[in-house]
Amino acid sequence: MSRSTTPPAKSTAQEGFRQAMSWLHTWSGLVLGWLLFAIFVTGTLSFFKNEFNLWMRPELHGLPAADSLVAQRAQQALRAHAPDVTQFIMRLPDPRTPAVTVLWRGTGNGRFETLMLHPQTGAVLQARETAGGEFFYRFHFELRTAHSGRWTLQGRWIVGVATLLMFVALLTGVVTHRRIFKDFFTFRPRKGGQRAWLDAHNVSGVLALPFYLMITFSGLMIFHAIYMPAGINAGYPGAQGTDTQAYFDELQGDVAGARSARRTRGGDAQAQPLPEIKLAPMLEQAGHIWQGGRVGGISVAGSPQGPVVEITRHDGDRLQYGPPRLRFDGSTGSLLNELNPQGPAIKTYGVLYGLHLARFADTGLRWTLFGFGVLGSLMIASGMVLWSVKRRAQSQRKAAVAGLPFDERLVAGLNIGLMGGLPLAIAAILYANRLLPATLPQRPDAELLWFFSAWGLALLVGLLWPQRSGWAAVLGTAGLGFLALPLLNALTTAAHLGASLPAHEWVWAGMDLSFSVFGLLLIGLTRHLLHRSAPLPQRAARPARSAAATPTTTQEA
Amino acid sequence: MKATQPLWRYRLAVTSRALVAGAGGYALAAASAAVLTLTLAGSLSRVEAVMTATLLSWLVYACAIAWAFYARTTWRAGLGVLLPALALAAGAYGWQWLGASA
Amino acid sequence: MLTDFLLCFAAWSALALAMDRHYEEAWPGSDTEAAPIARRRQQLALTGCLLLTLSLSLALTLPTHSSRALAAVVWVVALSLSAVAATAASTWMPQQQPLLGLGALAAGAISLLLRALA
Repeated sequence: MSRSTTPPAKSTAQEGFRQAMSWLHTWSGLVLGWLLFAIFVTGTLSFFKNEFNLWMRPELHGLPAADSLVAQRAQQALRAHAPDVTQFIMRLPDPRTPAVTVLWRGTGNGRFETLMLHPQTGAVLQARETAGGEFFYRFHFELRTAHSGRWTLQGRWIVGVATLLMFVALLTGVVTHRRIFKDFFTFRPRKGGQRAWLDAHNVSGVLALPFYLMITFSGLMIFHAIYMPAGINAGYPGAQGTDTQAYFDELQGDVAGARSARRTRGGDAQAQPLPEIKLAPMLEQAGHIWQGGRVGGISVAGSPQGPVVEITRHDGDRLQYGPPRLRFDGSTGSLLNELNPQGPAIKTYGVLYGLHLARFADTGLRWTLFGFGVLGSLMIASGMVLWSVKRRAQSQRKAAVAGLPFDERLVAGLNIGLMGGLPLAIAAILYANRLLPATLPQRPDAELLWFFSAWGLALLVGLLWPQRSGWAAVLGTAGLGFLALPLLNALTTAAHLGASLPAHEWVWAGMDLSFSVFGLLLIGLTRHLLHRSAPLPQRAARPARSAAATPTTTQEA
Repeated sequence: MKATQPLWRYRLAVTSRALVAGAGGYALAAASAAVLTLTLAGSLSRVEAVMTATLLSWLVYACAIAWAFYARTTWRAGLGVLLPALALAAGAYGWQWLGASA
Repeated sequence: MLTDFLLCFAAWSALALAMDRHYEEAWPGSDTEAAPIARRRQQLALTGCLLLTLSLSLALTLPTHSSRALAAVVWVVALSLSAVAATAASTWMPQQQPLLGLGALAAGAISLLLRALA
């Protein structure tokens, strides 16, 4: 198993390549494995970002569906609320987000503010301040630690490095595991120990491999302007360094410089308040051009030629992200142009982007992708545990040591704290959302404090008890927490299962039901951990199989 | 990367290869993105050229990392990544310089 | 999605049964190296590959999704999902795997037929 048993001279070039890739696979996975796990889990939750956003604002429960006049009414409500509005971006309701969300700014400090409006009356909705599903989303690509956003660029770089390592680990994993096709369907949980963990890692790794490759590659590409700007630097030389803005303009199908020309008028203090815009004819024209496609949002901003209206198609209407946009003259209502870049490379990028965000996915597909995310999290977790288990097996073979050596204790403790602790932290933020007073100042940051405190507590537990009991304590607490969440929801809000189930409000009921199912799963896992306090003795493999059962990943340090 | 070496030499070899893979691989990927952008910009629109080059640069990066750990010696690993990176970077700067003076 | 899933599941089941380990678990006591069984395993592998190709071409030619790209994405998702299901079957109910595979094939054919009639 260890490299020292291989002959010093490489027998074949192929063997040497696989050995090197195996080494690279182990270490690229291990170095940032815990971070990758957290990124994968929070990213998986982000498939249901809208649903978390809603669940964490129970005041929005019971909103009716929007009608065709929603945009016009919302504009009037916004103008009544803020007569000096100079620019706004309005997201229209859909079944996943029933309220109208408006980002707007006025002649004041120039900062954007958020407003939520009733889809039928236009009344301003008062919901609790919450980090919402945005927190999981932001955490998964920039390790967000504060609601207002700090160290986000640094966070994105760290996530980028982790993503690259995962990309490398995936590619080398295919090379490393020479029996990848031979062991394709092989999972032997009853064998226990290292064998079962290796099976679990291989099977969870290979079965959804297209998904993992897509998600890591697109993750790198989405922020390519940060991570790999060399091409932009070469292609867009500007007067002062690189004209990145021109690149983004052309990327969105616009003329280079169009955005900055508009921005100078839209955001500064001299910007004129917008007149009321007749949106209905433009929406009608958009519906005509898109042949009944849904409208996702409307944005209006001032320009030297008067207000400009952009109608964006719903991002769930196609695979490629971002959606096409129609630009209108706000005063005359005439169509200026359609922004919908169709070059092969941009389209590839857009499809990768769209696949990563999965806005196109209907409920069934969304749940399947969520399942792949869970499988990926399990792949990372089983890889981390496998490293520990393998280490332990090797050290026990060398000598019967009482107690674990320091480094194995540390890894085992970090596994419990950082991976097992994450469900606990997620439960904690959901509890904070329901239990903190609705009017608490800086409420989203208080929620984050609960999240990170629970995670820290789990880390402490893991470091103190780096054995099965530690796993059981952390996962059991999280399981009970998730199981009791619907109850807490019933005690603190009107959006509970008793109300949502009879009304067939599946967005609401689905959240509560999923929490309890997840809680039950965790409790089942905890029972399993407690009942089998000692690892199963490895069943003697038959001679013909034992050769096949030898792990092909090598371990060395 | 043989376990038969003294530990410190082994660690030094791993560290230097990791550096070659991470930093050198990035340099190679970035330089290839720049050169490919400039090459493609003749036949494609600028934004298409940039996007094609950037999409491909990640594969260059992955191959460079694999090479850094596969090469027989650390020297080969380093030269195999850095020499093409330098050549491509020189090409990219030379191209831009020529373009600016023309 | 359902048709894709059923056909891919049948394909994966055939591919799994083509491997000696899973063949022996499905039909315990069979000598997987004996010539007739080795030939049968080869046929199973061929069937699996053909079924995968068939399901992909069906997914791309029969218009059930707004675009061909989306149909391809849905097929890849179904491919992975059915691989998970086939692995679960060979782990926890290996003796039923031949039956499950045939059942999925039949159900897939029926759902294709229903779609053709509708």
